[in-house]
Amino acid sequence: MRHIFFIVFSILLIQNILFSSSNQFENFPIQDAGRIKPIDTYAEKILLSIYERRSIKDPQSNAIDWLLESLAYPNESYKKNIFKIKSKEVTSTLGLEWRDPHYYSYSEISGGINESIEYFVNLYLMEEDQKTAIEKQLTNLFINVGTFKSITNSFTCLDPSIEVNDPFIANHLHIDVGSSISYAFYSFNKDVLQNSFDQITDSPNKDIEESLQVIMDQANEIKQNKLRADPFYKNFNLKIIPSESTWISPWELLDKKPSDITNNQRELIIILESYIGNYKQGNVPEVEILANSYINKVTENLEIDINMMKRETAYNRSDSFLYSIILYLISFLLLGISWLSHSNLIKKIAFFCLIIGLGYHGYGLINRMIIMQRPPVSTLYESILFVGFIGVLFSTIFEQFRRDGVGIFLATIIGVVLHFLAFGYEDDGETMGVLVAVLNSNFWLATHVTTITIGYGATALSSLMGHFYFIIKLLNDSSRSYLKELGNNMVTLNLVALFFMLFGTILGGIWADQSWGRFWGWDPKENAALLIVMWQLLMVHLRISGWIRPLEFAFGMIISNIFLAFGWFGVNLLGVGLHSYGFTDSIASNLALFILFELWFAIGIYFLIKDTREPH
Amino acid sequence: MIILVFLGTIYQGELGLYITQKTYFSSWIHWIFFIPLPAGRLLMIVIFINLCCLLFKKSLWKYKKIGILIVHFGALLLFFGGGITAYFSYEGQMTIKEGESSNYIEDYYLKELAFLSSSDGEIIFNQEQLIELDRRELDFSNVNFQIKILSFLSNSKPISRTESCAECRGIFKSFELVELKPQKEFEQNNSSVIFEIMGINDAIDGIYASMIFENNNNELIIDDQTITILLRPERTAIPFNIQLVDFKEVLHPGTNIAKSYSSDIILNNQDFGRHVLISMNEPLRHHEYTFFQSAFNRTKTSEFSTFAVVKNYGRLFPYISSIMMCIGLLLHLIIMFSYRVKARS
Repeated sequence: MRHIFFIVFSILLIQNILFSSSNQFENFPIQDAGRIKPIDTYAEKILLSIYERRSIKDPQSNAIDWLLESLAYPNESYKKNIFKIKSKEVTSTLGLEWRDPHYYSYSEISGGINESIEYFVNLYLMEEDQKTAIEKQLTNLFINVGTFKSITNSFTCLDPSIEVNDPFIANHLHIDVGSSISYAFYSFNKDVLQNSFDQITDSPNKDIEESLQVIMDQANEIKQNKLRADPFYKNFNLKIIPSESTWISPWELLDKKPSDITNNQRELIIILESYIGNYKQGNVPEVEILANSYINKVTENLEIDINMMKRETAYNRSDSFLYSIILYLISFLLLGISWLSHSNLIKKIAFFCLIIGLGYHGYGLINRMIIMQRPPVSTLYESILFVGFIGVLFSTIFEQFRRDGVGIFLATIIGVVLHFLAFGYEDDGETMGVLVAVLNSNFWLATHVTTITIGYGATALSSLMGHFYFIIKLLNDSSRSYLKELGNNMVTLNLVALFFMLFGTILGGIWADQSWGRFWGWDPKENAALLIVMWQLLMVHLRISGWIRPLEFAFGMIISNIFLAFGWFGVNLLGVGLHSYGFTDSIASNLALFILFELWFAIGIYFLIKDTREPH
Repeated sequence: MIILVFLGTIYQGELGLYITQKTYFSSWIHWIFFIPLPAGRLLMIVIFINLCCLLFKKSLWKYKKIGILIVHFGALLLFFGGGITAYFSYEGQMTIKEGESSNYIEDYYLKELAFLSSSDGEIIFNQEQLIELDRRELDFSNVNFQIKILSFLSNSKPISRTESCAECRGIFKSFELVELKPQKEFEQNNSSVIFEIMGINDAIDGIYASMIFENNNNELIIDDQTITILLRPERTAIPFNIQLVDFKEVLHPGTNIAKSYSSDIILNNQDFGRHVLISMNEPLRHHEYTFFQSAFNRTKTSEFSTFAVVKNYGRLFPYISSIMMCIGLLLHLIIMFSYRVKARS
């Protein structure tokens, strides 16, 4: 066992070293959605919302490379097919052809939007719950297109596009004649230009005056372009310049009075400008030096932990949960092979894969904990992953005791299913958001929410065992003692689940008492947890008193899954109460399907088993 | 119980928390059409009695079962505490404007009709009295008159009158009230009361209406005395006084998501006071009252902070019982484990 953990640990370590890239741009800090994060996370979030993937497929490109390229070459980026459109109706509204793959470029879509801009603005202002699915997609597209345009225009102020041909002005600005300056440079040196202008008013010089006017016009044109590009968002995006309370974007900085701009901010812009310039020229060594000096500068007088940025970028790159799901799948397949071939070795390999998968799973969760500085249970996405982890962990322990593969079987199923479920929620965008005031308490998150989530994990597992018991019983090829053992295990697991659910619920009550003044308020989420607890209590008492046999107990376990689904996802649909942290929109029908399936499974197979046993 | 909780939860989406709580959990029997379903109170009593009976079961009083016994005793305590809370606790709220102070708690649900005299105290009818629709005598210095409550509407909407009303006085002259279905959020209900005043003079005698959401209250001017009539949430006085110094809302930078709320208050006992900071998850406990930061309101010129106030004698029970249940389960596990080890060897 110890060896296995050692190997897992070394693999993770090696991977970490291999994947740390030399492109420091990804670690530049940015303020977004209430926290400071590496720009890499931001790029992935934006790409995920418009392209619906974390990286671009054709040609292969990382989110961060894509973002940097779009910032450096805005006009080229408008021609790339990066906006995913999910339905034909949307394309026809925009006057586009429905083609495969369903990716469209900014130019195409914005053309369509501009033709009926009034419609889109009205749609944007409409109440969210009155929109149809198509209208929601259109609104999203409208917002995404705007955000994209706004982001790509963030660095236009750094682009050296104003040519200075007049020797007098060039001399004043300390640049070579014929070289170009950016809007940022122009803005920082406005007073120098003003001085030179004042000087020539004494001895009027038409040429200088004219070329000065040309420079000013060009600068103004750049600014106007930016304003046109960003009519709704008002420099809302790409807040990478540290400022006192809320960070600001480069353009926002340049709009400030020169006296309000700190030296640090000015230097950051200057470094950024030459960074982009060198990047465009493909001057790799210089780019790296500049990136490092940018990071040094930005961490100079603010409490930004660059190691935290690096850790988060590494987490983004590591794809821990992708590895864990793949390993679970492999483990599942190997287990199947081992059952068919009765090979103990393959089963051992399967177990090994499972452990490594669990390692990745836990590693990802631990990384999230370190990055966010809180337990990994604060969003639905996280809680699903955590429940999966707990389920796999418990069944791994279970396997340690039994060593017959059942644990592996249950672990891989629960792991894979919950991973897929979590990936579904990832598309919602921000999975590492900030918490609202009442949840912002690490102590209670760590005690109540973690306990109850562990309870969910154990409940899910016990329910899965109920399913397994049914199937085994149906196949009828196992000995009586094996079934009895399985039944006992189920009771134990239910007790474990009950333990965590009960204490999670009571702890929740105590938290509520601490922060709202009432222990119990019949809030939907509270009730749902209570439902699970009561059902499990009922099952335990019925079983202990001998009123039901293991078969009925397994039936009860399957039903507990319905209560779990109701408590975990269902209550969010009611839209009342204090716990509506889950963003749930289209899950109502999925939930109904799930419940129907569980009912069908439980009742159908129960009677099947009864039927086949009656004749004996 | 499971059915009840399930139904009670589902219907919250439709009816709102307060009403479901009242009909499903805080009552004795709930009727679904003609089928009686035991409601929260009754069920809990049954479980409580059941648990009590369990303690008399001989087979449980054994060393081996001590863990189980403790767990059930803990559960018993939990129910007992619940009972105490249900009957002896009081919940309300206190809203204070920045710079001002308050010494009373307002009820969430119950209303009262108050007659405030400019020279001689106040007379108050609580909601129970309003619903009784009784005729009552009011006695202020120099004036006494009678009022008769005509109706009490828990949610209503004022609409312009189409026909003129000769007996109507005050704003009731130009508006009439339509009864509405109660809102999901109970606080949004515009409760109102319609009453008749008799025995002063023809100009004043007549029918009046008061609403919760109203700025111009009815005023009776009799000689040099003004009597203001207003419908307001029922007030309960507390033996000390709280002054709001400053309310603060901290946002996560660059967003509209709140990171924390806090109120700086001065807690005054008679003449002397001290500063206290009440924030989310950090309430103020003073005597048997607990103050929690619960909401805030902002107008152009000032800020209001709202505290939930709870007076609860049973609040220690869940703590004790959860510790007991925890110990009990652990004990049981240890005992079971040791037995199993013994059995194996």
